[in-house]
Amino acid sequence: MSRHDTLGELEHLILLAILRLGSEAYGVPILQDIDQRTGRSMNPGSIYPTLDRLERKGLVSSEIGEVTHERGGRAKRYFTIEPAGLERLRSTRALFREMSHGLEDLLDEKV
Amino acid sequence: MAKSNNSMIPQILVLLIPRSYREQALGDLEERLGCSLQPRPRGVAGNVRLYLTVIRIAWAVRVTDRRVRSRDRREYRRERAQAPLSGYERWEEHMRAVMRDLRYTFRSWSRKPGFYTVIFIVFALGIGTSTLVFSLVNGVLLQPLPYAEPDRLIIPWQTHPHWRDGDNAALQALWDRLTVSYPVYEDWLEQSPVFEDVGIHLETVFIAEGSEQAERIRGTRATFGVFRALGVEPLLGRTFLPEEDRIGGPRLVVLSYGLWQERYGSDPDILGRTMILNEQPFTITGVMPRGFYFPAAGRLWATFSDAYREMHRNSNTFTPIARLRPGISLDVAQREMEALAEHLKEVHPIPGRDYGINLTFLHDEVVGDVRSALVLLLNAVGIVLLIACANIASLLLLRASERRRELAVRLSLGAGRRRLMGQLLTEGIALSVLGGGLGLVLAAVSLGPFLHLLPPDTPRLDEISLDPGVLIFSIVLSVITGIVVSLLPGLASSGMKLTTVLKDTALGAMGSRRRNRAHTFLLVSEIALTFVLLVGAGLLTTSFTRLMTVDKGFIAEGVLTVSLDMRGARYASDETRSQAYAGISEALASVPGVTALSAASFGPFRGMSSDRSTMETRSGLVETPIDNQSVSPSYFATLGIPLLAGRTFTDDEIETDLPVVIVNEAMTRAFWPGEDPQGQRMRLGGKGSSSPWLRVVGVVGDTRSRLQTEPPPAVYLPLSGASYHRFIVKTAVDPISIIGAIRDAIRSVDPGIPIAGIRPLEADISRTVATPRTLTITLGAFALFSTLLAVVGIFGLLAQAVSQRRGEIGIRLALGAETGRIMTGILARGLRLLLAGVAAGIAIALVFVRTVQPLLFETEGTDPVMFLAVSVLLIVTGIGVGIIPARRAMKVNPVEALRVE
Repeated sequence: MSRHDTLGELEHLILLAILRLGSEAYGVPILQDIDQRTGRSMNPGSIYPTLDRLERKGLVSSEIGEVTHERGGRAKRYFTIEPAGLERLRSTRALFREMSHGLEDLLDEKV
Repeated sequence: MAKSNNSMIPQILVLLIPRSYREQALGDLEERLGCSLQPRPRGVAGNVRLYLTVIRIAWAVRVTDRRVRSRDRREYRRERAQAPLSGYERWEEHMRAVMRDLRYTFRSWSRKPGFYTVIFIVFALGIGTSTLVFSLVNGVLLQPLPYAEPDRLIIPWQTHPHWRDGDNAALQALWDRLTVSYPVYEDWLEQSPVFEDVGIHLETVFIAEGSEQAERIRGTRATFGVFRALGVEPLLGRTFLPEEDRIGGPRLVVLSYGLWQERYGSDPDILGRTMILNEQPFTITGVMPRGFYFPAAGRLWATFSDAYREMHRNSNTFTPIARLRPGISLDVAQREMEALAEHLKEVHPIPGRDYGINLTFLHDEVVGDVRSALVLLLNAVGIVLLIACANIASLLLLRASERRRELAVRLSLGAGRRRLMGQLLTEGIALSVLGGGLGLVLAAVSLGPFLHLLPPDTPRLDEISLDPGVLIFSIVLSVITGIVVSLLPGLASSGMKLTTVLKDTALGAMGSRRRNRAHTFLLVSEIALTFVLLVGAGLLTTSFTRLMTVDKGFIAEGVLTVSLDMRGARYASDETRSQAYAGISEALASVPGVTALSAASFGPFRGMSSDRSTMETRSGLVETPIDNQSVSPSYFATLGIPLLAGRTFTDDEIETDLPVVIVNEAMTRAFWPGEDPQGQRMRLGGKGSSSPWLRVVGVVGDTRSRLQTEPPPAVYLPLSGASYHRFIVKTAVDPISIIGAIRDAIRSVDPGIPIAGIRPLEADISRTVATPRTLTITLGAFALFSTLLAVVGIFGLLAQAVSQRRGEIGIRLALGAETGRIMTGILARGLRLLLAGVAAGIAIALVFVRTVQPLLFETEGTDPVMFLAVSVLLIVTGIGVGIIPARRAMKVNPVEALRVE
């Protein structure tokens, strides 16, 4: 994992959602969290390969959860943020904060 | 029905989602929608909405998945740039690059399918023909003979230098390839210091007693040493032992695998059984393995009979074969055997004979005359391949100029030179695999018909196949060809510098002038090589035509020769034989369609015997071998041989064996020039011979015994009723159509006579020119193919020139140039190309004809008329084709052309 790696936007959003949801992070809540906060309507299809990639890179881990009737007998897949994922979120945030430094007047929303 | 359909659709749709995500995605979907995906009534609109959702999700999964993976790869590559790769990783990366290049290659092929189909076909034809010819060369020339250590196998011929200086062409050809007598063989067997093994053999036809009719089987008489020298172990049993191979020894026979299979059903208990050959019992001692042959297509090998073993030292009847001791060179062996010959001459002097020794390798003997024909074919096919290469290269060059923008983009996007080089190579190799594969299929399919085209007496015909050696040759040739044609367009234009090639090809830096120069170079080479092939084909055709129309001295049309085998016990006495011949004559004469009938001991084109003869001439007795054969009185009339003086034989002379002879013109010229040959005397045998003097009663026209050589002096003797008859039947109808009737006529006299063959005389003649015919046809086909390629090439180049210069032509037309001048300009360009090609072609052809010359009959290789004719043919054809693009140039609409610019 090199330091050149930056997070893609979707990756960034998903990691933040997983961090917030804690032990309840699986497909539906992740989608809802992003939808509600960003106001965008995500295509659910796009999050699965992204989650997969985050896991391949060791930023998150997953486990298969319980089977529920409301899911038509299909299992949930819970995601947990890994230390590397947390570290990546921090470094990305630091990066943006550093770059935004002194630009608060221009960047902050004015009501 | 409708319901179950409804329920099925989601099941199929969910398959659109990649399996690894399906469980999650569908679970989430169902949870989110709060409804089941299981079949249930939802109404049409509800269903459609659900399906669309599934499709939308599936689509997003796939798109994202691809995006994510390509991002993974980019990162992987970036990391790899920093860390050294393991061998496996490097290989993997390399393979990935190759796959990418291949995909790219296939894409560019599929964009121009017609164009690349032409390239594949040209490539396949080039490789296919090369493979065929190489399989021939390989089977006949290169493969070792199928015997143990064949490089030690030799034929120890005797020589007879006197014959070299004689008049008889046949003997001149034989003087250094003289067979040996039984006593000489025995001397060699005992005394030769250089032979590990030595044997003699004689090809013959046996009459084998069968269950119904007697069967003729081609076979070989052989001594024990033949098998020892060849070093091939029998499959069953044994071959002959030295102690059996002597006067009074047992009659033994060894069978070929084929004969054992067919006649004895592969019976494993065959050994010790008796086979009746020529009415004598032979004990079967062995069976040779499948594929064994010696010396040619014989099917059994039998011991010599005592009659052969007791033959005189002067009867040079047997073909020798020997295996040299290890480490003895041919030169050393030659010297040792010469010394032995000198010694034998002292011990057993033969008056008038001064035999020498000539050792030759068996392989050279087997291959013999075919070598020069094969070398010619190999050269010709090499030229065909070069032409195909030039053609493909110039086509690819056309394509390269179209592709240059695309290549420039790739280079500017960071494709390195190595990548582009790899790309070119990949394209070349892909072309090799496809075109070469197609070529091999072509060769495999046409090998059978091709072998049929070959003369049936081609040595080692059965050994010609697409064996691994040929396959490797073709694959290597394909790959080299593929690489050459891919790199050649650039190489030709850049003084052979690879870096420039890459830059040129990739950057499109190769200006149109330079590209045109490369194209011109390729095309001129193509025209030059085509010229060479056309000259070769033209010379062979001329030669073959002359050969076929040469005056043979007799008329072969409508003539059948009928050969019988009368060696059986029933015809042992002269009387029964005479009666049978007379009966057959009568029966044949009454076959409808037969207009004339005669008989001879040989007949035309079936050889002659050549005996030492003595002629009484003005300057005394002259002794030399002369061709002779015995004929019936009507022989000359049947064959249309003119009687120039005197008369033919009378029936009396035939019956009473009177001492008369008829000579040909060549004989008169040689011995009695300016005299009346009638009444002159000669006799068979040397000066001291006691045979009766024969009086010349008639002179007939000369007849050729081979098409290629001048008629030799020859004499005709009266054919006695009892001696061997070959019937010569003249028919008024197609001779083939009455073969059946003739067979029935012979059977009506005696159904038991083995018929050795009923053949049109023209077929016999045609067989002697099978090699020139094959060569002419093959080279003609090559030349035709090459001309086609060259013509297409000229057309392509001029058409391209016209389309490149549309703008310029448009301006010139707009400025009032005459259309005629523009057309002439285009044609002049074509003419310059053709003239350059022809000039180069003449230079190459002057070298090439040297390989053709030995195969030509009464035709000069450097015949200026031929060179001129081919030049005119090429130039006229080229210009004729050039008119099409030239006319197109004339019709350029200036307004349109300029608008495009």
